[in-house]
Amino acid sequence: MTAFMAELKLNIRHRICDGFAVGYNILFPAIMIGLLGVLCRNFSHGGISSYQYYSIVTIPFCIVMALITAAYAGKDDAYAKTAERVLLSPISKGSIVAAKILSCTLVIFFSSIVTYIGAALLTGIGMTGVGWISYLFLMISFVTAALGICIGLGMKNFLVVKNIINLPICLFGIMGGAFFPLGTLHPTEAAVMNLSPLRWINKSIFLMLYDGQSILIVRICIILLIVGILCSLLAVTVFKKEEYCNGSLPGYEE
Amino acid sequence: METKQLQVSDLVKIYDGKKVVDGISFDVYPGEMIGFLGANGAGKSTSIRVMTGLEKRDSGDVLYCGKKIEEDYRSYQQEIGVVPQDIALYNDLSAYDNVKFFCSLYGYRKKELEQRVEEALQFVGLWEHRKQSPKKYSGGMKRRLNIACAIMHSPKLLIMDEPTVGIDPQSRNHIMETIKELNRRGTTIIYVSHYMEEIEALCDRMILMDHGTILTDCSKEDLKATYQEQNLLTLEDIFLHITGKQLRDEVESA
Repeated sequence: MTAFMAELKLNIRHRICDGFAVGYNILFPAIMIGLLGVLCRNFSHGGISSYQYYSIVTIPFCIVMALITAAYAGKDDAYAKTAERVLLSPISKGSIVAAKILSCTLVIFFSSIVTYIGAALLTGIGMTGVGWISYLFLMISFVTAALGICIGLGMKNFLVVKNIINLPICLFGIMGGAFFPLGTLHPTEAAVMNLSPLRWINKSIFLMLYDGQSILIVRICIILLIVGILCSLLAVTVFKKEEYCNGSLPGYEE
Repeated sequence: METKQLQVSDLVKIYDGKKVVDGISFDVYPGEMIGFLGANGAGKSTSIRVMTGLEKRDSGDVLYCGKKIEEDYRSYQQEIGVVPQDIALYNDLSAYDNVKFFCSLYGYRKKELEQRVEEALQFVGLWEHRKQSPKKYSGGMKRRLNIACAIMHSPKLLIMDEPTVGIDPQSRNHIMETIKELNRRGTTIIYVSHYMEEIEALCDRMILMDHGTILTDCSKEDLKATYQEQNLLTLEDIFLHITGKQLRDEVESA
């Protein structure tokens, strides 16, 4: 437990200090909400202002974007050349992986909560179901962290992985309405859009906030919890000592 | 008969069909100081990685105090210390926090943890500079901190992989004295290097490796006596005579 706690503390420190999680989950969404909110201020619909809309859809999108941060976290010991030393100490691979996943989850979650509270206060979003929404953000952060660490532990080249990951995240973002609201769609188009997890996540938040319906958000939270656990188990399985030690990043300051 | 601390028998490691370590066998007795010599790509570092359990072996055995290291790997990790060739430190932590973190991974807490960190830093002469980041350290200071992070848990067997690469004579001298003192206190040392003068000054026994095999395993005196008649008086002459003078430009596999 002592070793796990030491790993966890160090990883939290690294995630806060490297600035990626804070940048992607506080600064970037704040800019997006402000910018898109201004550009679309004449398109408010059904009592929801453009600022409120983008506050709701941007935060989950940015949490998913943190997949790149988590993938990096999976390899940061290799970049710092400390991976061998960690592996030579009597700490289990389960503890190493769990500390990485938990640290990423917590930092991503708290960053998004700060953004959400700030955005809610500034744009006047109600506080209905804020507990469930927070829990949803926690679960998205958990899945993002677990999947990201899983990718990070297995990847050979961070820069290539980063470029590849960006594409599906942006596609899911568009399909989920993170950049522009999706109106009434043709059934085929709607079926395609429904493939994006972000569409369901955003829909569940809107239903919770404006209709007081919690059934979808609860279901999504349960699904995300299961997926997160599976990804965590997969991350422990894919963890290989040889791979964990190998890796370099151009420009990384040793 | 004295108990063998470490037994390596018929160790084989294959990378891409090539035997990088080709059936090496040797025993290590408590309190010994062994020089592990070899040109670049001779298989020294790979042998160390396999012996420490960082990499899987393809065949052969590694026994610590008569037991296969896999049988009780946790205890083995507690008993060994490794000074890696790379500087394995976190630049965002102070020297004190670096040692403290790695020491925590061995399960030490509170008073005992603080005591061990202080002892290790005092031992390598960095206690006065404990609050500084290794980023601000000179090459020699980094190397000494690298050693402190490997000895803070009082290992019984210390494996040092080229611990004096790229440092000034004063720092090298300090490190050599530190190693001698560790050995005087009872720590068994396997010293990997291709600096002949260091091996000559430190070690009583030498293992000379080339192309993945052990060419010589004997005492310094025996080695010199064997080649005295051929007018090979220094260790470097003997090394070049045994391994040949052709350049070694092969890429290391590990």
